[in-house]
Amino acid sequence: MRALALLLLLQAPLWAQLPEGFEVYDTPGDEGSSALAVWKALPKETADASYVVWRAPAKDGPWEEVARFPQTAGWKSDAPQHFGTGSGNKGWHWASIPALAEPGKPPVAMWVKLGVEGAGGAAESAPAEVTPVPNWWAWNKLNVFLFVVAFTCVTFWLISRARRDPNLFIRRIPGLDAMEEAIGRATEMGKPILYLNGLNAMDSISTIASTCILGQVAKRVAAYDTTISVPCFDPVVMGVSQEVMREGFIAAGRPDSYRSDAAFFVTSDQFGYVAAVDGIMIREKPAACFYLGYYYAESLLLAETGATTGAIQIAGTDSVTQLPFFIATCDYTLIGEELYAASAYLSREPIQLGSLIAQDWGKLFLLAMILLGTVVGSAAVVFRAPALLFLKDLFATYS
Amino acid sequence: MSPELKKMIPRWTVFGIIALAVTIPLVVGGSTRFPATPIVRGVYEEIEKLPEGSPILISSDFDPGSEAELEPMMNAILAHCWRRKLRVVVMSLCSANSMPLAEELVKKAAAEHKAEYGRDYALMKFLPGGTAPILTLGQSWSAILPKDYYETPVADLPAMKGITKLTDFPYMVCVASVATPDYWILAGNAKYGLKMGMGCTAVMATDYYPYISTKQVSGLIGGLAGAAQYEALVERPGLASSKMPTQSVVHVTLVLLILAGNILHFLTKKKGSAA
Amino acid sequence: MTTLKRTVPLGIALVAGLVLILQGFVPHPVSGKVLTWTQSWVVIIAGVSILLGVGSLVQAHATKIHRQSRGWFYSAVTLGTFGLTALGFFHPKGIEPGGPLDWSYQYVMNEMSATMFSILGFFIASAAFRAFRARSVEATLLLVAAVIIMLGQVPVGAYLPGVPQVATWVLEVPTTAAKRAIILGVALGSIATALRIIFGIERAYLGGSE
Repeated sequence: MRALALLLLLQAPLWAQLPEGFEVYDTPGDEGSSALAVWKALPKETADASYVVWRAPAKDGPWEEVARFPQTAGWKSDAPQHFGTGSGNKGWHWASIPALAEPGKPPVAMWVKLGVEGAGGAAESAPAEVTPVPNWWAWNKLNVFLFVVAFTCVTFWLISRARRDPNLFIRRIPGLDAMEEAIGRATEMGKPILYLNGLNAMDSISTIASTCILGQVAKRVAAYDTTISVPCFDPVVMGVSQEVMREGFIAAGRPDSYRSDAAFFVTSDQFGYVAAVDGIMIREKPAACFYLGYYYAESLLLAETGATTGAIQIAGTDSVTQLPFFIATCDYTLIGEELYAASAYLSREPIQLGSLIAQDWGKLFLLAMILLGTVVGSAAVVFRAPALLFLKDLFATYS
Repeated sequence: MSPELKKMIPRWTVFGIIALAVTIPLVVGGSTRFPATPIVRGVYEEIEKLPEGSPILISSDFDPGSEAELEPMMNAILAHCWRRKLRVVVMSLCSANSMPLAEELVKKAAAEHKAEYGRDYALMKFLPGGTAPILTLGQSWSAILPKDYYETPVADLPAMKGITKLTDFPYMVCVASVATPDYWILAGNAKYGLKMGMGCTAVMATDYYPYISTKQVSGLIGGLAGAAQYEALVERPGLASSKMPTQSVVHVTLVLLILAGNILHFLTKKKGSAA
Repeated sequence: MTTLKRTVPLGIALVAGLVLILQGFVPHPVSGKVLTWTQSWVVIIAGVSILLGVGSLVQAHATKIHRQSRGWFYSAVTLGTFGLTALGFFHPKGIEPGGPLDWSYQYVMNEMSATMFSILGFFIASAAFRAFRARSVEATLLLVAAVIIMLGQVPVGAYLPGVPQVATWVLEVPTTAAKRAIILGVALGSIATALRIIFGIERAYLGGSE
């Protein structure tokens, strides 16, 4: 009798518990490629049991499995790109459901259902309908957009102020002051100047900054009637360097001294470039070497070779990794944004200086936000006041 | 002796000592097990989490210059992926030289793991342009990579099944000797939310620590030391583990050289002030 | 001429810059198409620019050989190997495995690149030997940190109690803090420079500021 009861019990259908709060909605701020499903975690979850999500073009199928993961995974808190980092994510699961429509094609409605599978049996939710549609605005980037707009407005306001009052203070940058000295030294010694633009292409801000400085250097080189050599890693950078130098020579009133082969292409291979430039250094023994732009592992190979030739070396890079090598081997090093400021510093144009001050204001704002975020976050954890917790979530979501 | 030559003596002495410190342990041989740090574990654990048959993207962004440092890392990651029966897709943003090198390394590893081209792995073409190709791949894979490295349409490759855009890869690893991890973080992770880990040369590693604490990068394998730790995790001691004794000896030699340099500096200073 | 050399490029920079800034905030597929289209141009320009580079390379070295300038022999070697590599392309096996280009890649390019990179090890040692001197409190701190990191990053460091932990702490806390500060500055500098270029305030990269 007991055996029969056990047999009946084993054959009886076992139903797993379904989670509450199952909801499906279009992914906000996406190109219409997916929908999101969210549901509350069950009171008791194990790694052996799984959540399964299906989609279908109609309410009655055919159903296609689109997500399956253990009950201990797939937390909303793991997907800050969709749900931020607020404390409301705690105890909720999520899944992304790909849209049925091909990218760029009109939106198509779909049906989504959630299932639970485990040792306790299986269960499925009622299907829910959703239509993933393309969005015109990414609201999760609102903070970035507002910062860009505000920063642009402040920059223009400071530039207009700089136009009215051109006597703006800008701290001394010894590396840039030393450029004049280095060019003078090269002239006295009758040796050339070697100028490198870094290894990035023209779309890199550091390369643009470097070519801008090259224009200023070319003016002085032309005025002192010394020679300059600019081996380039990128053909476009070479073209821009030639043009910038030509204009520099014209501005200095020495167009006849300009040689178009002063800036030349070497190779776009990292170590091939190093070998060629090191060779130039050893053979020509330049009096001054300028390394301005973005550098990789070759920075030390270049600067150490330059150091052995006895040249004055001035480097400037926003490549944080390579800064220590330049600091160890060069006489002067422009750190990070000093490289971007160089063109404004050397030209002393008020409108450029105005944008430099905007940079300082931006930095001050970010510092204030970091401090405020730290204070609010710490206070929220200590006092657990709802207003503080709300502010903490706001900071966490939009930071 | 000319002053120039005299100036070169300390430099060449340092070079000589380092050459010996490199060669002697290499000749003697041996291997050291290097327990993994949580940062290296970050890559391993994400790959462990992927279900069997999942696709994984590897951006092989290094050329022959960095092969010695990054090949062991690449081997260990590939071994891990195939052990987990993942579909590996390899591409490159680095240079025209990087894809032939990746082809050579991946094919060698595939032969060892009996991985079949097209089914277990696929090779893509080199894509120039920094963040530009990543942004495009995020919209549509076939827009710029309709065919693989051997001109086969990607739609015909089982390894590429279900891949229409970048985010169809649940995870990617960028192995780089240049700044391509920046591109992947900026365009792949920040724009499309692509989950990623990375490996790079030791000198680059510190550049990417900030992205680990922001969780934009799940883990980082830095240089040969990182590769040796990954080899320990996948229990497959290889090239990196065998180079650890050399690395230890060179680092200790360098510390001793720095100390010697300081002692000499103080002695010269003392002598100068006494005179 | 000024229109072509100044106004048109500045106009392109303004329109392209503003459109691509907005593109970052618009997820709609139309925005994606605009991005794909503009990025295709970047790839095309990068490809075509190689021709410009080859032209410059040949011209620069041919001039050196012609003038018999100092080191002209190296220019001859460069042009000679350049020509040989180009000829290899016309070989029936071309870039196929076992062909001349594959061979030169495997046995010349690989080895030479690796050699150049390996020199870095020697140069680091030489630079460290010169730079890490306890001249001041700051320099001593730098020296101590360098020694800890060097030992903490290799297996031998595991035998020195606390060294790997301190090395990890140095990398994760003070180094990351300093780097974040530099990165913040660089990011703001990049935005300010990009704005200067987009709105035509910075035009030195076009040649001159007039």
